[in-house]
Amino acid sequence: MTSTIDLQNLDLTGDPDVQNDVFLAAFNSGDGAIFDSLYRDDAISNLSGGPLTGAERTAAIKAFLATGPTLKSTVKHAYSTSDTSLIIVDYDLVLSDEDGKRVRIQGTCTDVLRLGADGKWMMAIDRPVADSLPQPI
Amino acid sequence: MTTSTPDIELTSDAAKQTEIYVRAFNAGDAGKLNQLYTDDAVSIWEPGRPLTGQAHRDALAEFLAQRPVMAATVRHSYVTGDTTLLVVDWTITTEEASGEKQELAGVGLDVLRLGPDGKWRYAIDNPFGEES
Repeated sequence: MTSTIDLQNLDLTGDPDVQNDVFLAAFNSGDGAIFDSLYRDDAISNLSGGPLTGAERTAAIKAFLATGPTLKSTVKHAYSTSDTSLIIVDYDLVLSDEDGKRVRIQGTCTDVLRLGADGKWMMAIDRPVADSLPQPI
Repeated sequence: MTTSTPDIELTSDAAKQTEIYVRAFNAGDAGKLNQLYTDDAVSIWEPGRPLTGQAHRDALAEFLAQRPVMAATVRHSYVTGDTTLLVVDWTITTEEASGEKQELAGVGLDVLRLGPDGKWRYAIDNPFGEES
């Protein structure tokens, strides 16, 4: 990744590695509104631990990102039709637990993206699955 | 194409998709099964080997000729307006010429797309979704 990512004008593109870079840049910005702009209105996110959509998803994402989590991920598998993609990534998430201690969660996330009528790819569904309980750092 | 199974229809209810697929699969009905996929669908029936188009249809017909028997249970389903992700526990049993049975099992990640006709079809079918 050599080009810079404009957080005010995000484009996931049809390329899984670019998608991953854009997704990470938006997540690690800490700005939930920016990150949530990658999701369609009716998208379902399981980042909070359960499926949320619409305004509930947006609120949960904003609240979570405000706590300063940091995310790394690498694309493991990517399969695409003309307008639908299934992306499987390995992720490494560091976040603050209830006591404010930093902990690490590693796992695998399944992402479904759709190409919109406007020619932009957007997140339709995410489903992270942790490999184990949060580990102290 | 083998025998037609007229009671198997495309559905507008994503919760019914897996059951319909299993019925068509166990009926050995390649024609009906192909109708359950989008024209550009991708299936990863062997890890690392995505198939689409004619290769997809050929592989399906070849596999069904072994008369495999599938059982599947939907573990999770996430349904948006036009896109669904199903997480499915499945087994497929085949019987060899010797009579010996072999069982495959996995956790499938199925992505369904709603067509302009209001029916769900498989866009991506990844039966070994939890393998590295």
